[in-house]
Amino acid sequence: MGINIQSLYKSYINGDETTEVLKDVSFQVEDGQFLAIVGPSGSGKSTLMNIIGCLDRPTRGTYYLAGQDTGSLGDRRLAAIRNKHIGFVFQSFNLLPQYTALENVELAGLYSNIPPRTAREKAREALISLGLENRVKYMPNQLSGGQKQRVAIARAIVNSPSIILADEPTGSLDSKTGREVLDIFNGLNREGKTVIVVTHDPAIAQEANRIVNIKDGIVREA
Amino acid sequence: MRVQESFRSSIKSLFHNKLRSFLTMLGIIIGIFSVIMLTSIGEGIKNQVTSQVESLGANLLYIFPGKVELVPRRGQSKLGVRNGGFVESKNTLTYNDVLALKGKTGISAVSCIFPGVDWLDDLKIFTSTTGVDEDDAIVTKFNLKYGRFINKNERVRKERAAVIGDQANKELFKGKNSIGKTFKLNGKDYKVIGILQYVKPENLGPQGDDMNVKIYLPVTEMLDRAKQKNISQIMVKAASAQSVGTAEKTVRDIMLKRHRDIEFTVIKQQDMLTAINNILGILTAGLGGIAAISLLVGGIGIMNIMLVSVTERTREIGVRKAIGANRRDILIQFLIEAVFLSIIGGLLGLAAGISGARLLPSVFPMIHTAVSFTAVLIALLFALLVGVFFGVYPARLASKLDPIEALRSE
Repeated sequence: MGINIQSLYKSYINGDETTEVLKDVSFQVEDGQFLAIVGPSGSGKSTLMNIIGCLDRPTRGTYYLAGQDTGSLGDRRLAAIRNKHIGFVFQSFNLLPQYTALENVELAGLYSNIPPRTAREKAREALISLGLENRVKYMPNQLSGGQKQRVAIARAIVNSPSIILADEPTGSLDSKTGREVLDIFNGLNREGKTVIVVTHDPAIAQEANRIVNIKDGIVREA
Repeated sequence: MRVQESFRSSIKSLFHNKLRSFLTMLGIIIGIFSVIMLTSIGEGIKNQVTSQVESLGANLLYIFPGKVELVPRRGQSKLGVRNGGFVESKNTLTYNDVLALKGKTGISAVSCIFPGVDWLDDLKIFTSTTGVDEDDAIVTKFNLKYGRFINKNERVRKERAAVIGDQANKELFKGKNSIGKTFKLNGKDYKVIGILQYVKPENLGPQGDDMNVKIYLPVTEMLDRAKQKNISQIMVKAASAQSVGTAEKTVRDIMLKRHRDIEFTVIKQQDMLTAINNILGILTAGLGGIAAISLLVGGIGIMNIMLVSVTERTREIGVRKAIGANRRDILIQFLIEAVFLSIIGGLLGLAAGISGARLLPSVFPMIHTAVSFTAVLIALLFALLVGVFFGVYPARLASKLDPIEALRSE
């Protein structure tokens, strides 16, 4: 699932004021890379990540995912791409509070139309692979921050996506659990998954084998 | 399976906010409850009236003085006489009409009613008496406790013989078997030949009154005493269900030879039932319609709560979209939730309505109820429609949320 972005622009219209968040962004990500997008808050890095994750569309320019122009795809196709090929990890975990850990992870499988029993099995395997075999039936509010993020990562990987997108994944964690989460990403990257981490923390960026700086909507290779 | 996830998510969120879900459902519960209650009361009245009319005997024709159009005929001039009885202000039906109809084609029995008021010496009150032909025993199904009904001999000879109701027997003879005993009407002795007994007080007679207080006398005796010729109505029993039409024709032919067209009206028992059922049907539908307004209010309650829910769960919608839900998934999820509210509310309302309809007669014995399957079906269908109708807008709103905005919301 190679990523190829060509002279991409993103602007928001707020009343009669137009804010250019991304300006003429062009870059490629090859399969299996561990990429860090680094920039201060408000630099447009989250917007870039949302476009890569097919949650948002560019105002201008093209985004090829695995050679396909995503601009021509409709809601259902984009949703299917998010479901099967992209795993999201957020700073605030974004677990559904009314669901157990298992049910949260299962959700991704259920949206991919696999049989419920298979979805449950895969969800359990994903949780076990992240060392959460004793937390399967826990509600999110019964879990620690590190555990929550591991559940969120389990949810991101349960459909075996080729791309993991993480937006400040350690931002809500202490340094020790943050370290653990980064180790998980390293492991996933070794398995051959493309990992893209958005962060403002240069220390985290050091984990990556490639760093891209973004400032005021302009992307520059480090 | 995505649909399964929609169901699970709906059930989870309904249980997550139990009180809120229940209060939202309450609108639908009350709506369905009132629809079921009111229609079952209407249906109960209909059944009661039908069974009463049928208890008077089957295959009957009624002849009334004057012209009455029970069911307006299509294409008829609106200027036609509607109530000749009042126009003529004269009743021309006589007991001779009864005699003329007896034994004719398709007719098995002919009776009549002559209502009277007589002084009951024993109790020192005026009492209602009813003059009938001996054929009344065939026309009306009497429940006789003791003795027999008036016979032809007594009618022809204008004898002072009486068939009395159970209540009359209690007050006159302390409830003992009084066959052969006498009581005084207008200072003259009348011999008891039969005693009627009805268990249910609501078993009303042909005039809509309690059969247990009746005093039946030979019509000839009463007419003779009152120096009158006219009777208030004639009842004709057809030989069978198939011969009702023949009997009706015979009655018309004979009556037209003896009277002018506007002096009498022939009504079939079935026509009467149809007319009554039409009126009661409209009444029931009207009552149900009024109750259905509360269902509408309940539906607005659902829409309101669903809109709140969409706002509260904006972030959840964003997460679901990031995980791979498309617009349709979100739409279905919220729609199912709204329909769940209305269907569960509808079922609870149905349970409450049916038990209410069952319990009501034990609290108010005068009220009869009957839950009709049609009403149940329509009520449930309506609940479903309310859920869909008022659920679509919030669900569309949810499905159209921009995932970025949704994820950003706190």
